[in-house]
Amino acid sequence: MKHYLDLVPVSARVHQRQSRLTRLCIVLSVFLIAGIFGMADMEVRSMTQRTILEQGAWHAAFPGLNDRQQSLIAQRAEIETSSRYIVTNYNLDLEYQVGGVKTGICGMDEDMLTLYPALEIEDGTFPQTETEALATKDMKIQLGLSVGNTITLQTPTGTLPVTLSGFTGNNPLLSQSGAYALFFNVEGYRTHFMPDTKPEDFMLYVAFAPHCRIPQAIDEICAEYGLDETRVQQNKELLTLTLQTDDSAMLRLYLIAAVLAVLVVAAGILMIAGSLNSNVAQRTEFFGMLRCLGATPRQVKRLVRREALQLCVGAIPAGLALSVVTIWGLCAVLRQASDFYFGDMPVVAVSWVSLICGTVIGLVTVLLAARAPARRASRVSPLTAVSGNAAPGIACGKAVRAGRVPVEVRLGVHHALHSRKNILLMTGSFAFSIILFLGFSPTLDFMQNAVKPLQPYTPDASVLSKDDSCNVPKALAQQISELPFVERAFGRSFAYDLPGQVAGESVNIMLVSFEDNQFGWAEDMVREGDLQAARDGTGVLLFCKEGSGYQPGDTVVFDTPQGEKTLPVAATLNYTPFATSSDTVICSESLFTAITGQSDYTIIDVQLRHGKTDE
Amino acid sequence: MEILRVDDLCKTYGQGETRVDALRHVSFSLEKGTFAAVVGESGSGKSTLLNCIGALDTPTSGHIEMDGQDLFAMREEARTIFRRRSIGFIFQSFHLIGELDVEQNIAFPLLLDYRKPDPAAVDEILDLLGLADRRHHLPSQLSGGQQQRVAIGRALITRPKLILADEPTGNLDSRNSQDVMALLTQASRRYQQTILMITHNWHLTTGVDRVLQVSDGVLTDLGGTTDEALS
Repeated sequence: MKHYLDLVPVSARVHQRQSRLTRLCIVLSVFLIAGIFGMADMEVRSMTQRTILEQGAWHAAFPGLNDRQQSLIAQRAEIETSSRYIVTNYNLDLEYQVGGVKTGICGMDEDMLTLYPALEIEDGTFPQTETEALATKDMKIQLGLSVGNTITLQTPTGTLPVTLSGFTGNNPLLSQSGAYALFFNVEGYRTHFMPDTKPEDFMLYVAFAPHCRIPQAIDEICAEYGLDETRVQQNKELLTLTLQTDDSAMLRLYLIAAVLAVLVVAAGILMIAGSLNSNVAQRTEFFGMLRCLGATPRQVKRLVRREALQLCVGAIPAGLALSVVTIWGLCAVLRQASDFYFGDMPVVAVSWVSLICGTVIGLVTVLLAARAPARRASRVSPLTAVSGNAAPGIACGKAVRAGRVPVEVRLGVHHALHSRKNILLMTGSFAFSIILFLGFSPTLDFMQNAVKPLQPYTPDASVLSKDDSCNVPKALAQQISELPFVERAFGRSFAYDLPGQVAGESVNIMLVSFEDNQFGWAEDMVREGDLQAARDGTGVLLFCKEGSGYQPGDTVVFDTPQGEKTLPVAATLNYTPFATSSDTVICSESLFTAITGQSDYTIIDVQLRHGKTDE
Repeated sequence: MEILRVDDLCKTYGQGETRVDALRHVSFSLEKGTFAAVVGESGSGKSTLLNCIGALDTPTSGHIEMDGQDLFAMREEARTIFRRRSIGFIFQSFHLIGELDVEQNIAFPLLLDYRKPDPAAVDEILDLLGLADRRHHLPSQLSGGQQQRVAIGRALITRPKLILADEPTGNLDSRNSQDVMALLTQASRRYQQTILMITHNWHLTTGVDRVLQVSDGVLTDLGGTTDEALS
């Protein structure tokens, strides 16, 4: 031994049993903190992965650069990957067709496949010659094509034979519009399609290196090459996820994780401090003896703090390991629960954010928790060792009162209530645990700010009207619901800007129809009132901003071709299952038809049975 | 050379009906190298006297000077450091650190003072105590007498100005008690160590240089190296 604190590890080895409870509290605190930050990190990774698949891994796209400028930018140190990209017939308004189907034409470098993983080549290779191209999967399936086939591309000026070097995955936008796409290399594009290309169609897509300050880099590039910043496209979602923008969406997620961590830290401090206090109380004579030997109060405090940190040596790694395994399990459960929403959750990943936060916050928690026990130990009088009385400092002012209650019970109560600090710590940690438990339900609402939970009305697929009018046949909903793999199908009709009054105030009303399922889900959305009148078609539901003053019993007046129709507000809602920025009136389908004369749907939502695939 | 001077020391506990005058106007002094014993019945105030001299307890009034320094004119931290360097304690219940071996227990007060133990000094004390072959034994592997010898070694290692021994033979049989007394006497002679020992056993006063009696808080100097009444 070279220092008096070297006593600590020796003592820890000998008294492992006594410190078991404290170590357990530390393990629990570290596990919870690391778990919270770890799940937040996994959610961010999942969202990032999904964004990369949907939007691409590029950060910015610079338009209208010439070849030299593109080359210079690509060579900048902060640029990790770049690709030229040119597109024509993006709006499918030119006469480029394959097999009678409108076709978009793109030219790109091979690095574009890195910047846009959705373009991953599923079969074949990237075009090497000017007459080769990649085609989309839809084209392959619908035209029965394979690698090496030659197709005829109809152009506005004639035809062009194109050899298919490979096939990419489907583009959702193209699939929706039923169009094809052909991807040439840049040289091939330039050879055949320059007349239909505008200068601003030439883009340079770039991905910046990690840890680069992207907004600053973009500004520098625009300043150097005289580019208009407003014309530079940015992958906003990806930049938000990587905290490269001022958008607070991701910061909100981490802030919520931090708030939860603070709650855990507070509970952890109470638990650990209570346990350490008990430990100190059992060794009062030892601390008194140290004081006799000449240990100053500061030295005693340092000893107790060192003992607490010694407990972290095994407890923190255990807590971290437990959190890693639990995160793996939770990610697996989420992927199993919904492949659609959580399919991008990492399989077996380690979150360094959670490990670092768990370690640092765990150490801070233990140090904070050790303060009170250290102070208590330092105040032990040296007389404790001399007199042999374990608790000489606690002078009882009066004796335990006699009474009918057995003496051992009276002594127990007296001891429990004697130390104010101990009472505070013990009851505080119990009370905190109860508060957290009771606060679970409102916490769910709080958590909705971080992670949008799946709602019972969330559809797996939707059939939408092209022009947002009521032209989706009502009978289609019934037909879809009868399909074997469909759980349910339900429709909504929308009517916009209907003239009318709400509680005497002239407004333009958005009217929406609900059917039975949706009225059932609306029970949870009610702020005030009862839904029944709306279900029966004798009243309406009103969604309005909080503070607007509308309440059940107010009247809504519609100006219809048949005259004024006055209806009472049956209930007001806190939120709606669809996005709306204005006051919205919801009614039954029969009432909607009576007011607007429309009976078909604007949208049909479809919920599939569990386990059904995209096919 | 005067090592310890106690002037008009008073210690009172409680108030009113529960007031106890544990020490009443106690005054005496000790020369360097003196082995003194304080005898008295249970509750006479001898432990209170030892606690005040050891700066473990604050007297109600009076002065205690050790090597010319007023103990209670210092601040708490300074007094603790002074106690660590100038006073050694030997307890009735040994109070060794169970996790440390003999050698580490003896050297521990030096570590508290951030001093590096001199191996030669530790060896010398181990030889004096007859524990050289037990240096790596834990206290639980020692007999009561051996544990008390370790406690004596711990008190000696810092070469304190004064050693306070509170009933050092209280938990020992007669043979071990004699051994411990012999050791204390030997330490006092060899190192010119001033020792103040509390005991209720008059028989142990035969080997000391001076005997002080405390009765009902009042100290009487019985003087001499031998208790004339017993002899």
